[in-house]
Amino acid sequence: MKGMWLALGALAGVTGSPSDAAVEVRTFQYREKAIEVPLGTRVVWTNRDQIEHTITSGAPDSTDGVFDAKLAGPGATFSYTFTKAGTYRYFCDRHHFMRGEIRVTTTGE
Amino acid sequence: MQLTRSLRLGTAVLAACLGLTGSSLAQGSMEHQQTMASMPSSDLRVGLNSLLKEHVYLAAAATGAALGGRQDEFKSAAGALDDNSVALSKAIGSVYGSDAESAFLALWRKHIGFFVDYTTGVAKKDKKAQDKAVQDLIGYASDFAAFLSSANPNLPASVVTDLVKAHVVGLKAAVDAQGQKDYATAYAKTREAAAHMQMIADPLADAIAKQFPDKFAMK
Repeated sequence: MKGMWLALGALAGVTGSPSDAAVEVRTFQYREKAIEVPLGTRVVWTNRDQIEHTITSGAPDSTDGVFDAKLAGPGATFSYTFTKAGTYRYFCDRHHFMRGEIRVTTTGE
Repeated sequence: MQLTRSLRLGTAVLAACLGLTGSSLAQGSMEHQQTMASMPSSDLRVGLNSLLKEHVYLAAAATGAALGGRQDEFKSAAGALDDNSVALSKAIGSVYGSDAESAFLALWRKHIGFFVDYTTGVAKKDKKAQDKAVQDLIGYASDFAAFLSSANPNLPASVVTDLVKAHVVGLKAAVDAQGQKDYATAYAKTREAAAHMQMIADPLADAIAKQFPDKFAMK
């Protein structure tokens, strides 16, 4: 019985878990630099450089405290689920020239 | 004069071998324009050597002028040094793309800023400021190595880190001598630092040629 409900849910596109989006940190850049995702998306950053970077929300002169994570080295990851629509800017606190942006849209926008 | 001519030629050769068409790199580079596919890797090596050695001479000119209190000369030297930085970043960008070009330029300018900090410390005889700048420069060596290693797997980060540290130590010795008005030593150290850039330029050129064998023919 339970299996049938799961199958129906899958047919309807309802998975029960938020979708993921990926951002790579490579050659001192966030790739892609700016992405647009629907509300509820979990964004996963993965460091591909052999050096520590950070994922710090805001700008170097105005951090906003939404998220701040260190990616120690190659393979290190950080994820954040966006539950509020808006534009989230972020940067690397060790290399201020590294900037990125996540635009979170509500469904149908 | 000979040096200037040689540097201009080197820049032009690099611009040509990397397929650059912008006029900001070097006047007269058009005559050297060729397609990347037709360029031997040896030209890439010569071009990178020229730009990186020019970096040392212009940096030393800027720090020497600053420590000598020659403000106008310092401004001109610093401007030329930044032109050299931009030319280097364009060379990197022509291989790895415009985003990598921007990242490289920001990173490269960062180490020049640390050298400015060090020179200011020398001028003010501020040992604490000098030590801080040296620490920043050592940290920068790892950053720069990580950048190159990420862009090109043929460049091991640990090796590049050591080479950049040696660059820092070499140029620091020249600045120290300038600060002491020991000009004979300052010029000797500047030449040593410039010669050392071959240790960075050659492996960099070889690694790029190895990574893009279709663009840079091994001759």
